[in-house]
Amino acid sequence: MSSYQEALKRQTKSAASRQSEKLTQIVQNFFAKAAHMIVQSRSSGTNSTHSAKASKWFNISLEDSDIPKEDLKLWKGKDIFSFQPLIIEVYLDLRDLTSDQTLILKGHRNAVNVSKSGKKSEIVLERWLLEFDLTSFDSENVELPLIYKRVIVQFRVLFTFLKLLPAFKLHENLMKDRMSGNSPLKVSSRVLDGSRSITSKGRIGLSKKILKSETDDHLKGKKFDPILTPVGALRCSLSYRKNCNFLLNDNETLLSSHFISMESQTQHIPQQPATSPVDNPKRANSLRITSVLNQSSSPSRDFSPARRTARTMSNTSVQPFKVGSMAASPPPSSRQTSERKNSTGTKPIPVTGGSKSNSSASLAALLRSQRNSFGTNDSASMLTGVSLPKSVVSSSLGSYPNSLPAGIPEHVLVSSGSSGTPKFLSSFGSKLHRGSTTSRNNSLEGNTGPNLISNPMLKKTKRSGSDSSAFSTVFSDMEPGSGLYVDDEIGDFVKMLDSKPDLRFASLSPQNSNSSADPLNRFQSLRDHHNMFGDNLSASLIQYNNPFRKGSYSSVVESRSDSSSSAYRQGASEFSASLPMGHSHHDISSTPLKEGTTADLISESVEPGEPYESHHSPFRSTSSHGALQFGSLKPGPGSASVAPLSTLAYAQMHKDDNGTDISSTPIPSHEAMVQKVKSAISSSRRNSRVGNLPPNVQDFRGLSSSVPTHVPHEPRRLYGIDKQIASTGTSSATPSGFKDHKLVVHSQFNEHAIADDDDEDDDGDELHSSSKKYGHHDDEDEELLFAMSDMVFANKYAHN
Amino acid sequence: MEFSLTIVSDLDTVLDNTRGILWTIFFNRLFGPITPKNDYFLGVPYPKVVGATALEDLINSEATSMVKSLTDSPLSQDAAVFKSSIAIKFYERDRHAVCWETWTLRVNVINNRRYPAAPGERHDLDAYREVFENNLMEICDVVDAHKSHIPAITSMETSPFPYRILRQDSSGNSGTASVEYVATTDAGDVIVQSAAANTGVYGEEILRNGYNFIKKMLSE
Repeated sequence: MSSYQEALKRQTKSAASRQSEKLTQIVQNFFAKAAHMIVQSRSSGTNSTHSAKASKWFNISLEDSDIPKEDLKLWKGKDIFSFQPLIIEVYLDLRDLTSDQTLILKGHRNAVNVSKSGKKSEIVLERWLLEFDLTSFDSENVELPLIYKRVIVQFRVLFTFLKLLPAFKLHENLMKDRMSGNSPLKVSSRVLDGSRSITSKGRIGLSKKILKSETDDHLKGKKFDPILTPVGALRCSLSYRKNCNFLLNDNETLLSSHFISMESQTQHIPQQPATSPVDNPKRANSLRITSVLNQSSSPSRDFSPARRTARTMSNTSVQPFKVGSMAASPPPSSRQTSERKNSTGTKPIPVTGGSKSNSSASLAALLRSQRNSFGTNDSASMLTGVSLPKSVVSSSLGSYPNSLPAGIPEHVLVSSGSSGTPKFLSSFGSKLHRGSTTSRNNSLEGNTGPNLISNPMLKKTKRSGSDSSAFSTVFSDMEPGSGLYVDDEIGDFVKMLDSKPDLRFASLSPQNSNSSADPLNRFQSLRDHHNMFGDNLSASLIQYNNPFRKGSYSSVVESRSDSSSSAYRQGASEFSASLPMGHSHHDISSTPLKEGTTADLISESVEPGEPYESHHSPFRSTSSHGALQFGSLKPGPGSASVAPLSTLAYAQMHKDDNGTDISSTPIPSHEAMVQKVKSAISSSRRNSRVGNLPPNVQDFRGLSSSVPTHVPHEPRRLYGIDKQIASTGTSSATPSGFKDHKLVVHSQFNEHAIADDDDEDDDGDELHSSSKKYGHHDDEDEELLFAMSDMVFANKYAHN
Repeated sequence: MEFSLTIVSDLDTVLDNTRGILWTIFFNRLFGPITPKNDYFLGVPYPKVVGATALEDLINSEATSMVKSLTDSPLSQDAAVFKSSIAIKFYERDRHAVCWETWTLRVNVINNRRYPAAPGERHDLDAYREVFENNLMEICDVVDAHKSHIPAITSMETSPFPYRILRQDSSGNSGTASVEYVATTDAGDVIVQSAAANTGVYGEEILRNGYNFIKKMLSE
């Protein structure tokens, strides 16, 4: 071969190698730049000015990348053919959420309580996939400048598009919050190796639909046009949550807003004559107690995987919502009659008697201790539970979309069941006043609030178009001094519970004398609507210790009118059952109470639906959630707003001396029963469940402290470190992982292609990929010029 | 390639709305090395280029003129909606007469001075925001899907391709159309000429005038 030929050969070879080298650089920088751009747009890093090292690749200059070099080393090597897909997860970091804060996802019609603090470490908002797909290529398109130009355009689009996504809006809002005040939330992102499977243990993955009520897909996808090179295609695609309207609420705000919204919704309650302030506190007390009951019982519930989220949610936010509903709906008369007489106040009735839940004695003691430690409880604590997570409702209730998770009542109970009740109530009332002007249009309320919507009782109220007048009267009349009355009553109730744990109902029954004619009439009229419950009520009273016997539920209901104890039980069961179902308080009264105490209902995974009409069956899986259990109240004919069972019970216990109607619920002993049940439930739950206290239970320090908190270490372990995350899941164990990334590539980039978020995943070993030092292009400007020079010269005559 | 978008806004927001759309289009077509930044319209971020003062001035002047002409026209004081259009044309670097892309923005301006929205209900802003955001998404989709018609980039300037912004007001009266055009040189200079002319005439003439001017400038 002549030297000329050799020289030509060498030149050709070197030209070719130069070409391939440049192509390699383009591919490498595609990954790096895209990751850089995505992460930077979602990062909370300081806005540094453009440093000298700003990457100018693809004619777009970005600030220094926040991504640790370690994370991207997989895509810095020379062997672009072995590049794994690069995944970037953008997530909402919940790790700094405190226990008194509730995260809500606001939907079109409702809002859902997303995560109790500590339960889930993060919520995945977006998942980006970058890959170099070797199966698609364009062997005719070898013009590097052309490829470079297309990548330029791609990055222009990417930059524009990144800012239009919901996660960016959330990120911006959170950044503002962080600057102005303290926001524990932040949007972060991480880089993952796409060849590894992805697990979503301990976090809310992308595939998990939070707003279960919304029928359309919660995810959306976007696939960018692939850029074809001679050897492969550069692909960028994305799957993201459409709704990132996450709001953070202090439980206090939540409670008050819910309370207000519930007030506005409890329109079905007939206008009550001016209720005495005493009644209101009592009702509130009963509400709180109920929530306590629920609270304690929810932890013990076992949720089916399908209901996990619901359970989580119901556990979390059980809050004031119930308080509001209960306060609004219960018939004042019933309250004032039996409750007033019952000095024990709104102590939850340990309906379970003994079998499943903690003894009432323990509950009472717990409540007492709480009361002492409750201190000046502002309405916040009481109201915290208001935001009943709709998701809980919908998910847990299944076919019974209206049922409220048991969590609702729990919160209510929690807030009410302490010694701080009196002050609680007063602040509660004042909160209402304050809130009434401000939080009426609260987002929570807007769509009837998360809890409101999901609370069948409230729903009924809303549907019936009843006024919140009853509710508002109740609370508006509440005066600071009213709390005192409540406190005494609660204490009395607690004593009563302590003294006769098993005979609570019996002891209460004689006290149930409905002094007010109106509530009783109302109650009776309600009962007429629920014939099925009438027969079994008395039977259930006797058998209240027997969990969930068919037919006993109704009997419990029946007995409600007979005795305060029955009312309690009924109330409790109704409360647990009815919350999600938006029953009016009328319904509550007539709702068939599951056999046995509500605590039984709650503490065991008993299916509450049985004795009920068929549509109550969704409550089968009420396990572990007081909220769930409360869901099975049948929607009554009613106009009556959801009467907080605890309120009813409370009213029964402490009858209103002046005979004014507190609410239209004519069930004197109902509230008492409810409260008892709830307290039992909550106590049992508290003891059995770990760490399921709603965030707003802070007031119940005694309570919370008594419950061992479960620290979800797993999620952190999984996701604390990028590497760990990347290596999570051995490839063999997760068939849906990225072993075959082609599958991912060609399918719509969505969750199905990735390991199911809820799947159990093997913890991957550490990234074992050799950490060889990859070539690192330090001098990007040089590279840029080189690429551009090709473009300029090569395209002088080129056509595209 | 021709793309069209519809802008819906009211008299108070149309200026920023139009500016946002124009900027987004230019951001995606200024292929030279740029440093991006963001600006906002009703809370929706749109991209801009740092340092492109000439383009900034051009866009501002164009949008302002359009709005001014809408409001000044005596015929349109009672109209509920003002209509106008703005077009961006991109030309090949070497063959200035060849337009490889046209963006036509149909601007509908709600006459909220004559028919103001109720103070309690500002849902119209939400509507404008939504339309704006959809427009941005549309631009993204379009730009991403159509890349092959873009000529080769042969320069390192911010804007390797000359462009033109055309404006036409039609307040229901086609006879009073006025045209303003801007031509840019390769160096990014801006030439603004306004001429009241028939729509059929302006194209070539203005182009010729424009480039003559350019040549003049370049030779100086």
